Amino acid sequence: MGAIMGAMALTLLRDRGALAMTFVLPPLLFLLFAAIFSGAGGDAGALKVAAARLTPAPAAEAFLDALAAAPDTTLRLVTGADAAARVEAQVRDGRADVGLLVRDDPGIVTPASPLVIVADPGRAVAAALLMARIQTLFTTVLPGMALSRVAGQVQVLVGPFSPEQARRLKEAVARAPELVAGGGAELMARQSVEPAQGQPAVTYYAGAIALLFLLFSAVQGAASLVEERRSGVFDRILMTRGGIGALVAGKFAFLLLQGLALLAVLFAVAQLVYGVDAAGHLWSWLVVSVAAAAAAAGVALPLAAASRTRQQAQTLSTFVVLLLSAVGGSMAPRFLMPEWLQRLGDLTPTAWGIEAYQDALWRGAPLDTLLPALAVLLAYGAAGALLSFWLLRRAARLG
Amino acid sequence: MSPSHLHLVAAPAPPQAGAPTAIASAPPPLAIEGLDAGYGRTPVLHALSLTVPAGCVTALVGPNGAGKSTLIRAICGRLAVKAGAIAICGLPADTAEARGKIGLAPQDIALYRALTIAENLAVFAELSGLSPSDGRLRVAQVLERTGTAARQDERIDRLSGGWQRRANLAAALMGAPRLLLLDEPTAGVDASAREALAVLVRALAHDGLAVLLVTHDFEFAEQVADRAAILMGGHMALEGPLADLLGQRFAHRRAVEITFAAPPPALRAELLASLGLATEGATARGLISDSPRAVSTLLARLDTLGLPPRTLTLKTPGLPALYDAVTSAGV
Repeated sequence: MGAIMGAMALTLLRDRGALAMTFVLPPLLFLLFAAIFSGAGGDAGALKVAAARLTPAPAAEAFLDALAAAPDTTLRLVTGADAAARVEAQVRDGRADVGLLVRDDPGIVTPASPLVIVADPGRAVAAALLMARIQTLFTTVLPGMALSRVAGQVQVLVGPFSPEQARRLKEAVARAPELVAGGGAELMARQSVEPAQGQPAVTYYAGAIALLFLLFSAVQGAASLVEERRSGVFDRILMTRGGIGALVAGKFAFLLLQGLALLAVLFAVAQLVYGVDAAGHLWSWLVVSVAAAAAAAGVALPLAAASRTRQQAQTLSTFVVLLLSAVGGSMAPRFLMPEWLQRLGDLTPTAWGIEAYQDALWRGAPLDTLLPALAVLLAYGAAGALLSFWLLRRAARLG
Repeated sequence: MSPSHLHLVAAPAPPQAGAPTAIASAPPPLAIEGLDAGYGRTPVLHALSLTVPAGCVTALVGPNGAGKSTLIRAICGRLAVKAGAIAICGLPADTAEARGKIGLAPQDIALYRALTIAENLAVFAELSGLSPSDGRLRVAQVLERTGTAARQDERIDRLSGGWQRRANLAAALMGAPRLLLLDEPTAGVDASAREALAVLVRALAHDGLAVLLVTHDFEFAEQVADRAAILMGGHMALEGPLADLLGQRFAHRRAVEITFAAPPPALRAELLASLGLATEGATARGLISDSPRAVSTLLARLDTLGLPPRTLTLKTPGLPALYDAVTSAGV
């Protein structure tokens, strides 16, 4: 076992390109992915809105001014006779994420919607975001406009206000910002569940990204098995006392150590750059990392053992790693997936690995809480090693 | 195992009671009897028998597709035997014990290319089950015996083809085998490295190792082999001591090679064939009697045909002639 492990380690250490690909590239990509997933880049969510004012109503201008001042929104006002068509064109060609046509006074009851959202079906989420931001504007910045519109709708239902009521309404609309500021709480407030010991938000994604690169590095390392079969090293090893058992054990041990080293580098970068406190949960991190690396080896080895050429191994491995990562939650949180896909994800080591890292680092769970995930990950490792042994015996046609 | 028990070539089994000598009583390193084998339902080897004795180099030759690689797989216990038996030092070939007595030097350089010669040997010493101290001793012995000690710290991928071949052979010796399988050991090797390999293979046979040499390099095979085996269409067409085979097949015959100024026309080539000469381009080869008058008779016939030779070379028939004779006869 040690012989094969040593040979693989020396081979890796003497191949600077492979070394960099294994230990330098993943942390760099981790930083990029972490920035994308966690919004750590600082300007995430800026929505580009192309807007046209199609009414001379003063309320329309006030509304657009308020929207332009809203955070995370870049408003581009389009003017001219064909403003509506130009807004639509900007959305269609991607210059704007979403469009907005203000075609009537938003503070009064109108027969048609005063605000029209121009959405690209390919970016439907942009329309939803703009609608949410407009709702927020109405309750926080333009409460008078909201009050006026609601009062108009009430009059449609119950009949016109008396002069006295209309006078009071006018006063209330004028004092609406003051009333909102001192007149009680908003309808909704957000309460975040605090992570263990003040972990930064990127901790949530650290496990997801680590599992993705762990699988990629494992399949890359296991691919040496294909080369050994091609060159005859495999035939030679078969003739030794160690045989296939030593080969599989050696490769498994190497992949486990390589995985651990990679995880150490990734989490060290996460700690240094984002303050993810892996060192503060060292034992939990270590046991989860050992189990995750074993599972990755258990996935990678059978893929290499089943492949006859390096090309086959690369294609098969890339497909399987992307599949496991997508379904397991490395690329997008699983709660966003349909129920059946979430159930399917339960079959992947990626999902269990991410869950285990969340338990260990984000929730600060004790070791016994981690046991189910650890058991599944280790079972993946053991099953993969046994399957590799069987596949290689079959390839060698040993009786 | 103490270092004093380490040998480059494993000692044969102790003699049976009443046996005259250990070598005589010990089962041969390789004995194949009536072997039928193939892949799935495709038969490849039929009723094949072959014995490779200790201390001998046996050259296994045959055309492509004759079944040489299949035979190597079967010897290594990696092919289901349908009939017959393969024994490695008396042990069934499909057992781990039997495999442990075989040293395999595959056709490709079956080594870790980023590792040095010594590091590769250490890997295979450990895989052979040697303790670290015994492994170090074995590595030193094999480096010394194969003449690779001077290059032991050089990476395989930075060595010349000849040194790579030596290292490939050296790794096959790490398990102290009784039977050494050499698959095309001279592929990609220059003349001087080839000569060195021939010396090494002979020396290993002299140490008591049984060597089965699979090759298309007849010159190398003739240089090192005591015995020859010609495989054709899955059958063993001929097998035995090379000198005996040559003596039986070519008693009182000599090989002749004639070159002409230009390739003979087709009609003349047919007439040459009637004299027992096969034509290839401007060269004709064949066998003639070793009687004093045979050459003058041949020259007279060539003169009659209007094919005056530019050169005429006579030599004792060797493995190439034997191979040509067997394969052209389709035995």
